[in-house]
Amino acid sequence: MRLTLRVARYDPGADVDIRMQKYLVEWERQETVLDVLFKAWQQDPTLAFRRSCRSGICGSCAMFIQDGPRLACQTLVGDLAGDGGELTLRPLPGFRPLKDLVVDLDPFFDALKQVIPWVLTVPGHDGRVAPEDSRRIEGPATCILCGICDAGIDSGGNVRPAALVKNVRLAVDPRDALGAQRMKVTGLTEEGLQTFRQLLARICPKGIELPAVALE
Amino acid sequence: MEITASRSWPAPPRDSLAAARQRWEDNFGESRPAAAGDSVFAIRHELNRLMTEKVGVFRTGAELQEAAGELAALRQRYRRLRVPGREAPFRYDLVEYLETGYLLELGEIIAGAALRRTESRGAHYRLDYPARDDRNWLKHTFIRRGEGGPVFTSGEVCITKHLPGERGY
Ligand code: SF4
Ligand code: FES
Repeated sequence: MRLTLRVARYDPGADVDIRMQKYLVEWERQETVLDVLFKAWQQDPTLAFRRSCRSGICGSCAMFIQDGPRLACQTLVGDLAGDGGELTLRPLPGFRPLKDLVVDLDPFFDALKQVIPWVLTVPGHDGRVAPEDSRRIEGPATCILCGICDAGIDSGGNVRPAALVKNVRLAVDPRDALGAQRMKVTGLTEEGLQTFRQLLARICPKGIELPAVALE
Repeated sequence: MEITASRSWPAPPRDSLAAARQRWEDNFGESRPAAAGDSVFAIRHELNRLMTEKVGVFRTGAELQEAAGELAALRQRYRRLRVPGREAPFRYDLVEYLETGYLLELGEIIAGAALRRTESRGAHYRLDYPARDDRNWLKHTFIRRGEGGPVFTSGEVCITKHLPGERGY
């Protein structure tokens, strides 16, 4: 089967704005968007895009695919296009493009730092976590920091989406000294958090479901 | 415990740094002819297949010998490639070029070490030497970079408390 990939190109040294370039590629039923992007790259090795694991675990390949932000390695071409169809790839919206599909992630990681993204251990805690607590942590702990939520939805509060996910993960951790107090910084109401929970479950490539957490 | 005894690293050949620099500078830039119809992608793909087919867990001397020849041919092709010349952010083609060069070196190291070791041990299974041979091969393999490719030597294993032996299961 054939496919026309329309890929955003941007060379900061030469271009004022993004321009779209077309690549004609062959594809097969089981192939992912990342697979066909590799083929475009072999036609034109100057094309830049981030990737590493090819298996939905490193979070590098997030981009705007057709009509929304997705992981290229976890999206099947066949789910979005047919034989002779077109597929459009752009850099993640809301992020500054650096080259082609590569964006500046510094603001994303800076936003994360805002929530002190590590466990501040309760003094003297023996480190043991009950299975029920562990199950609550598990959802948000699955985050691969791909940036898709930041690109696609609003947190409705003071911290950006991925930082909010990290904050909830720490707020429900019994080893953390701040615990539920962490939620204060978000400025969210019960309702706002519920809305975010639903938006996230729809867009997150890891299907993260946020556990209930007390808003003090 | 003196696991590593007092082994020190061999001194690098005196001119190796200068030679490496020269090689890099000669290779870099657009002046060298591109090998028509060849590409780093093709070379890496063939390297992947070669290593899987002839240098996997189960190997034979004959296959490893063939692999060594094919690796040398791939290296020849690699040397004729034009290096992506412009050093700039997010030049993944340059990364691919560099990685493939290192993979070729590693391929030679793996195939060469497997060919020398005429016994089977752990994940190194020589179909032509299926038995473990502690008499000759209870040894480390040391590999260093020589001017013409990897140079292999053997070193004694320092045994302390637990005697090595064949797996009994
Ligand atoms: S919460 Fe989901 S969408 Fe957001 S960064 Fe983590 S894995 Fe990506
Ligand atoms: S390449 Fe790692 S998540 Fe897609």
